[in-house]
Amino acid sequence: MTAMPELDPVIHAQARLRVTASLASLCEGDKITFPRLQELLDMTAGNLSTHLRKLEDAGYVEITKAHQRRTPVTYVELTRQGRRAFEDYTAALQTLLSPTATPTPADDSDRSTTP
Amino acid sequence: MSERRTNGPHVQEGGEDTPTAADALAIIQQAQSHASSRLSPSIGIFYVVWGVSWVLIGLAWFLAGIDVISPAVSGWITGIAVVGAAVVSAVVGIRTGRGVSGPSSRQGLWYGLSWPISMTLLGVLIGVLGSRNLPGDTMSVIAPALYVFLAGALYMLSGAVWSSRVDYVLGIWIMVVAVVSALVGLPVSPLIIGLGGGGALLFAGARALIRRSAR
Repeated sequence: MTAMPELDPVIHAQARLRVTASLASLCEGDKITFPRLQELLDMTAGNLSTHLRKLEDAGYVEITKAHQRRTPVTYVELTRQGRRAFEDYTAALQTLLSPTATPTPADDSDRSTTP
Repeated sequence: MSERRTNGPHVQEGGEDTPTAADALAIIQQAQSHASSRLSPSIGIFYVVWGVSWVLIGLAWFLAGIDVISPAVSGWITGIAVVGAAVVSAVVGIRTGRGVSGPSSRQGLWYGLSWPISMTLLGVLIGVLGSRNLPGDTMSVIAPALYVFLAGALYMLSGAVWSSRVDYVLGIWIMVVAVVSALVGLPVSPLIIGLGGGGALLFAGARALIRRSAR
């Protein structure tokens, strides 16, 4: 291992990193409404949508619009590709921090309600 | 989708700055623990609420058994304790899950409903048993033991589903409490359930809440 891994520029920006990490903490296949995500991240709607658009353009995030009792709801979810990119990104970070250790992929499947 | 790019000062959105690798890892950990603590219900609240409810019910029926209070009062205390704890559980469960949909929210809903459904059906079963001319004393020991046993079995299953050792052990303990209460019989059996089962729930709840706040 001589070459340092490159960090995915789409994810490697403070705000998008927070967005991606939070979305990755959902179970695979789960989606979250835009307002709840906004509340979770404590970001302005404009700021969040800008970053989501960049993630969407990269194919990392899927944004769907649905209707719940005639009210439009926007759902956000990490695509399979996005989840993969986030795992690669975390592995790359770990390699950068300890180049000798073998990177362990981020394990977010172990989500239990227990503290 | 067009993206405006100008050099105006306010167009520079926050968060475009690139963190160092160590900072990035810290951001990930912070964001994920924040998200999972906000999106998954605090199990400690459920334990504490039901623990209090069980202690109240156990004490009420023990006191009724030794003629300190009337069975009618114990009945009211039981009703209020069960409805109160159920309402708190439902509200906490629904509030934490709001805005999230998909496989995990379906799992949460089915799990949440399995409690009232199985408890209600057990109530019907106990009603049937009661109508079969079983001695009243036997029924007043067996009926609560059956409820407690079912709760223990459900906790054990929760432990398996959410891979929680605490739930699993708690479930086994509660089933043991149910068996012991039936063995000992009146008037001590409600006290065994209240303190043994409710006490264990309170212990698990306090432990979970302390760990969660320390995270």
